[in-house]
Amino acid sequence: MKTYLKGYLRVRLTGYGPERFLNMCQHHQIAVWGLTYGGGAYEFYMYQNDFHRCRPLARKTKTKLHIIKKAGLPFFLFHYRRRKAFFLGIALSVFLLWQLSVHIWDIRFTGNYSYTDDMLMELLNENEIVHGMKISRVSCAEIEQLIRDSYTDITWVSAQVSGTRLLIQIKENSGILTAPEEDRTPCDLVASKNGIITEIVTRKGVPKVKIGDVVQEGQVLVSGTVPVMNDSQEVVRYEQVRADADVVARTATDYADEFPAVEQITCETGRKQTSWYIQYLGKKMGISFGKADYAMSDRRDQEYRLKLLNDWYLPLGVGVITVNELEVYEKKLSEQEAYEKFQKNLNDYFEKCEEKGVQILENHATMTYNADVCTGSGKIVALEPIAVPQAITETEGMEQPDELNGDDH
Amino acid sequence: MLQVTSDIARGAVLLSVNGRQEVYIENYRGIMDYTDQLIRVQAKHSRVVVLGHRLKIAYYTADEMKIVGWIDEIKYE
Repeated sequence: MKTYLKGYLRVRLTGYGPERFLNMCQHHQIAVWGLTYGGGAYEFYMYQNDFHRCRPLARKTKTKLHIIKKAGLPFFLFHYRRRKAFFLGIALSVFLLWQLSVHIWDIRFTGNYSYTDDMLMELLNENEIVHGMKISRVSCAEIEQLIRDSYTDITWVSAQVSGTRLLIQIKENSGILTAPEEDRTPCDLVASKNGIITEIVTRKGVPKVKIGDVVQEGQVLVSGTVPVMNDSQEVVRYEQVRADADVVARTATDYADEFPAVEQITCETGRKQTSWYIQYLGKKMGISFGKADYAMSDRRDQEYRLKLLNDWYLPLGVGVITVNELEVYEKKLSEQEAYEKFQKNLNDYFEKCEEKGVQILENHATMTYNADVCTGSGKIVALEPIAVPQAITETEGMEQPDELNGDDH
Repeated sequence: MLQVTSDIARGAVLLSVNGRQEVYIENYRGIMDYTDQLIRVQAKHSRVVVLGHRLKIAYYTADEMKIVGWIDEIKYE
């Protein structure tokens, strides 16, 4: 490499005392290599700048030097000295590559669900963080702070520059947790459904039912009106509290489901329209071949970013938009397919029930298959919590005892 | 004290031969003769002659020389 950069010559040496010339080169520390002998002459390589130094030596030793080959960068540049556009092109491309490598050409967000890329990009753009900005002006800490301050439910942000990309990772809070305010208004617990009580655990209030009792919808299960006794076990007064209890009952619920026996299916017709666009700094310039004029269609965008290395993205990208024509047709469900759909709906219903703490004991639901509509119906027997709060309306038994209210009558 | 072998202290020529195709000569003074069949090198106390075919001097500096080619004989004069 050093030899190429300095430039070197292949020289033919002839004359009276070639060995003496070679020894003098050695003495004057002129580098000589690749020395061969043939046809009464010597040939060797030497550096371009040493050639001028060894001319006096050749004169002294009565030898002649004849250059047979010139090689290396200095000769290359001299040979192409007139081709200014060529060198200008090389310089320009090096400059362009350098310029392209000191700017941000791609900003990527990961981990965002409720905030779209466009929303986050708009926020960054408002704060002068844009495609094409200099990498040296990017402050990852400021970007992290900006996003956290702007969106309070984004709990963690990490920004990093990798090549010509700005990668922003986000973690969102699924919901801001606030301590629910405890409702302290006095109330009773009433039955939300008819059923037979199988379990009752009272924490506050007076239980009005016991295990095995048959209760009707709306019936008071736990009363929020609590009598206060004196030492003689006489009721002194009544206090209203917020009743609190776990009441589980065996219930029978009517299950009803109805769905059409004809299903609408959407599918591609095979006709499609493709158009291309060039993306530059977030702006799209389209090349379209005709307009897709479909009643129903499905559009897919696919974008390819140009890059030199793994993370050395360029400001150019190419995108393909494919519009597929869709059509809808109706398909009659077979009895088997209808039954599968009924089962699926039923399982979904059971899953929802289980989420509410309902335990399914018996399932008597059946399906009826008709030409137009399929219906599912039947009883579902389950164990489920039935206590729901209800404001105290009952005033019976709340009158103060005669002895204590100071009324003589 | 720097330990130097007596040969080098006396300025003796040092030869390293790799197979039949490479010879390194150190501590030499100059080239007396060079053809593709004979290379005669002057050392302090003797001359070294390398005989062979297609002999080439790959490089030479003030202290060391590398000869490549097909070597038949090396002798002192």
